[in-house]
Amino acid sequence: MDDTQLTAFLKGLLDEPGLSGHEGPIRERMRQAWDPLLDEITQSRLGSLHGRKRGRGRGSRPSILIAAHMDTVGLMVQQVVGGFLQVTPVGWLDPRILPGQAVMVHGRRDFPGLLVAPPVPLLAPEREGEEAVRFEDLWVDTGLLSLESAKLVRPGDLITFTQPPFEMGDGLLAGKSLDDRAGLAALTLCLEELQSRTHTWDVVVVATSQEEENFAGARTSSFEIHPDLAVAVDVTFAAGPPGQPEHRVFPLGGGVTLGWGPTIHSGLFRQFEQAALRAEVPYFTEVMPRHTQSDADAMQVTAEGIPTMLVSIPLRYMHTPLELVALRDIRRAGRLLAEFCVGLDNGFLQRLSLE
Amino acid sequence: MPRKARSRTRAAKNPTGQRKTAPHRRAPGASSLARGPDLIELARRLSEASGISGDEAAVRRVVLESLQGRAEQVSVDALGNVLVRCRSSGRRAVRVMVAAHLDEVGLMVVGISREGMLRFEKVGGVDERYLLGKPVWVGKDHLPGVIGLKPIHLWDPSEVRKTVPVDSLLIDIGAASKEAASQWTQPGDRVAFATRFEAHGRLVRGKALDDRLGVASLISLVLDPPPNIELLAAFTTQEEVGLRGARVAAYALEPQAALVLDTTPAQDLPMGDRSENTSYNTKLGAGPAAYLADGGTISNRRLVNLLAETARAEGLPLQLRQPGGGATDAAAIHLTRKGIPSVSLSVPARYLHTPQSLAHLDDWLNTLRLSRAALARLTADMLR
Amino acid sequence: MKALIARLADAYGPSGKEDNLRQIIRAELKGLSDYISEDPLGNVHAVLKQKARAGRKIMISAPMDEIGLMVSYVDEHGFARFTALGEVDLLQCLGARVRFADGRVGVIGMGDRQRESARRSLSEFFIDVGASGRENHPLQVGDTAVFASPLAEAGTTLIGKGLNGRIGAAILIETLRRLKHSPHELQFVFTVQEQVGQRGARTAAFSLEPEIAISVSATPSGDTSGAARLSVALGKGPAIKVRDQSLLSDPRVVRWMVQRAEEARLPHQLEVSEVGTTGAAEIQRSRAGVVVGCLGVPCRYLHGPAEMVDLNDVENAVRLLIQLLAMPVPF
Repeated sequence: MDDTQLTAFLKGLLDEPGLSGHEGPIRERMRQAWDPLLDEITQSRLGSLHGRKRGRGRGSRPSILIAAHMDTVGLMVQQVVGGFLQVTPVGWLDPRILPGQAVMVHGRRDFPGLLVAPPVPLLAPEREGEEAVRFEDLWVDTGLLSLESAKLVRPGDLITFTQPPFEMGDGLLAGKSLDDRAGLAALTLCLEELQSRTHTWDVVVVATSQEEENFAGARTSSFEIHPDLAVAVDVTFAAGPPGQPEHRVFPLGGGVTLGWGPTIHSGLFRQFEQAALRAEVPYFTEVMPRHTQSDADAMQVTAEGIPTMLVSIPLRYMHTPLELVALRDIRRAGRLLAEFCVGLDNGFLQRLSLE
Repeated sequence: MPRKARSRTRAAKNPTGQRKTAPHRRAPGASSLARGPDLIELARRLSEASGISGDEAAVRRVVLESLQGRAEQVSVDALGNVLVRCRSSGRRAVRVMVAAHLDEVGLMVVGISREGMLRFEKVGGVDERYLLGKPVWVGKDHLPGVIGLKPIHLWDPSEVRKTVPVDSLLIDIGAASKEAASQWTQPGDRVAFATRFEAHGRLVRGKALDDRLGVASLISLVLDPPPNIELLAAFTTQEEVGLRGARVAAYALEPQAALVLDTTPAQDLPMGDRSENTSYNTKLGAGPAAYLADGGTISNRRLVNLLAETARAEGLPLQLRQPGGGATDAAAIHLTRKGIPSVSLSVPARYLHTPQSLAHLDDWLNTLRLSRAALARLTADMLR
Repeated sequence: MKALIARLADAYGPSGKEDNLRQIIRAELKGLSDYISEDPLGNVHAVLKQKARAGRKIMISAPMDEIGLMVSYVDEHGFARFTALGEVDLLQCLGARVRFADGRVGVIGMGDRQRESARRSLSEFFIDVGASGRENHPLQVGDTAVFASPLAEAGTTLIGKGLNGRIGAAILIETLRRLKHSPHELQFVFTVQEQVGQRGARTAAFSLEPEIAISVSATPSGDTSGAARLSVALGKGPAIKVRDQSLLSDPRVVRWMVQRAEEARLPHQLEVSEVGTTGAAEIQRSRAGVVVGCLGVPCRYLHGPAEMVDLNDVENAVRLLIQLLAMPVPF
């Protein structure tokens, strides 16, 4: 895919709804994109998409699982009060960015709505002086009459942001759900590159469900697939907005990050560094003293334990309708993954060591 | 600094080549590493090794060296757990997993300032009040450093009453600049408290008594396994950051029961207002502590009773850890697969998760004696 | 069904000590299933094996345990400090009567000095069994009490302790009794240690490997005056859980439940909540995953000595469960 195609592909992904636990539309989009690139595609009980590209090796081949999550954050209807909807978040959202956001309510049919904060005089007196918006205050104004809303929407219906993506600056894309559709795009680029390169191991790509909720997709998929290695591909924080701790942010468009910490197998990390050098992919070490808060955490402790790695793409404004990512970082992630897969030979596991 | 291992000769078995079995008063197998200066020396090596969660290599090395040539099936898994499968002496021996965790709480370097100082974050529940003005060891080579603070003379009096947040603390390794510091260390390096292990009379003092005392005990058990059980030893990693090693170890070993050897806080200090201390948790000197229920596990009742009865029969002290709060590897183990009856037995210690913990030598040795004796008495019908 | 609920609710069975419940439930289940067994943690499994070709493996689970108050220290005046096994509502503790395994009764009290302070924590409460000091005290560390309030009726509602833990079990038993036929393999599981973190559900799911699972238990209602933003109410029917603090139900299961409820014209309500957890979340993540949903009985005053449910909701939950299990699964 060239840059125009990649941008179009990504924009298509960003368009598909896919809240945690309800990933249907994005799953179908990924199935279509991946079908020509894989030998088998299946779906897990929790809705994760599993795709296997068989390696050249004979007999039973070791496998590497590469996961990016397809679910995104959003909102769910909690109660219908006339033409107004009380909402609850699905995933971790900052309520302060919500007033004024245009949304789509996926009821009996899709219809538009507007997220609003109540006028200050309507807030309870004990909130006086406190301006910060909380979820309890928010409403989605549908503009419908009570009779209409009762027919169209009920508790449990999903709400997504409708912000359309757009290009910016030098190869940057702004839009919702780049966390982690950027990762899915990277996986797709990796699969494309593998069409014309040989690899010994089986490569199993997984679009996981429910990462934003509790990593249930990664946990159950890694149990089912039982790979020898597991890699999570997600997004991380990019430098830009002031006030972010220095060691937790990375330049936008400057390269990918490799995770380091208890969740990451130190030997695997070193192998990924080698692969990055071979593929000429600039990278940064992202230290994660405790957990990674990604699918990697779940995959490492599945069954008897799996050596696990995390590759991340820097992104600004995570979990808002306008996240920002550099296309070249997505390409780099795809290239790095392909290079690593190609480098897996039959002796890899024996050589792999924590020391 | 890592010390050269002293060679140890195995104590002779009694002349008929048979092991002693219960119901003798002496705990069986007490002849080999179970007592004396060797065990303390092992504890010293373990305590002074750096093994912050996720980076337990140095501690693992001590364990593997101790077991070298003297234990059969030893393996290291994807998370760095050391798993040992000891063959049992009996045919229908109960498969028992005994776990002790290799890791300790500590710090990780996350950045280097322009002036060559190291920014860091905690790994595990380090007690932040104990960080200021302490010496530390940075990285694999134990580079010495100091968590410094500007002197009291230069503080505004009103500020002295406030806690200093961790993210404003820095480690000084004596480098003049970021470039100079980068020759010696980099973000990702782990940092341990620089504490020498000391054993004086009744007390042992050192860092990471949680859980190097448990690890030393488990090594002793593996070198002379209690009869009648199939001992599955797990030296687990990453306990302090979510019991992660134990979870996969239990899955792999598939035991029928589990005993966790850990340490637990002894909060038996006087109250500031001299009122009654109702939350002492355990008391130093009162013996090994058995768990009824903590924040993560309700112990299997029969296993708790086994510990109590064994203590009575062997004339060993035993205390009950106050229920509630905390967790051990048992929390991960007992819910693995179809469920595993489990219990924890800990050495009481003061000031865990600080640079200097304090324990009673007798509490520790009695914990080892009690676990060995109880394991030897464990039968399949105690588990239903 | 009232008698069954009373038998279950009044029984002593805090997390970890569910022996009495196991006994009662096994007696109730006699002859109703192909086999009954217990697993290492103490869960009770009752399985109906025969399955039509298009039938599925369905696990239906409910907890057996209730909140326990475990003695952690007996002070010099004879008052027993305790820790909670499970979540207790502190506000409802003060003055509550409690009962130990041997029947001994006590009351939860608090020192006058602590009562003044605005902050409340469990460490300031104690259980008073009328002892005058530490000498020859009837209690020791580890003894566990439960709330003591026998089941009572008020209109169509039931008020009692432990309903949170037991109402699901009652529904399962009643369903088993009335269910004439099912094309599915049914695994009825009564789980332990729900109150302390849905622990029994996790190991039960691993053992039984179901394809689909429904957990049944009480769920917090939001219908008292000045309540927070919860949308289920007593008397409006069983709650079909879409989402709670730790679970996103499989949307196919939600649709299935709504469909059967509407077909049978049973009252029901949809629950979207930010609080509460059930075993379903643990079951969903088991092995390679399980398709899960949850039926809740709206309940007021949870985690205290006098929880309240509407008997009609309970009855309708049984009817809905029968509808779900008697017919094929539409996905």
